[in-house]
Amino acid sequence: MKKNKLKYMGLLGLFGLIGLFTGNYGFFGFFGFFGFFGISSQTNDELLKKNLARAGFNAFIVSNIALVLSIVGITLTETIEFAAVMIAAIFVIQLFVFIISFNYYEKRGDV
Amino acid sequence: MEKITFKSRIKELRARYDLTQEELANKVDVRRETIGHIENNKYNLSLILAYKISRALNSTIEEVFIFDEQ
Repeated sequence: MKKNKLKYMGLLGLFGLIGLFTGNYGFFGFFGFFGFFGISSQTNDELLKKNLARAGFNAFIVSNIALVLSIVGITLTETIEFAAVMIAAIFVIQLFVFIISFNYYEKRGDV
Repeated sequence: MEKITFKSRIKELRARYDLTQEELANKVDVRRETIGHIENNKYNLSLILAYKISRALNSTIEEVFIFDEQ
């Protein structure tokens, strides 16, 4: 049975442990990556691959738009704080777009 | 441009061979949800998967899938 290699993304969740040592609770957000271990037992079939690709495409488009906007914003504001906020925002936005799109395609199927 | 979709007879053939969606999914190495989407005409599957499903149901592709040209 073909297993899903996407489960290895779950290893990124280990970065959340940095929050324990540094006291910066923002790192705990990385624990969300452990969710990828949940799909490790799923068969990696053609519909799953297609839905992952479509969700990834949506996330790519959104992150590109957000990147362009942030570059313009950083150029105008010229502050490192703004850049840091935009990096975090793009990271969160693209993850959400990916997760929401993927769940939507999984429920709807693909006519 | 005409839209071509499949209409499947998987549900009917599964009943003939007393197979659940899960059992058929395991036979052709896909998820149960994928079989469900194909049965409900929500997913236009690949030719390879169509062949695998047909073989698992002891039928030909034409017997399992019907072209629906709109």
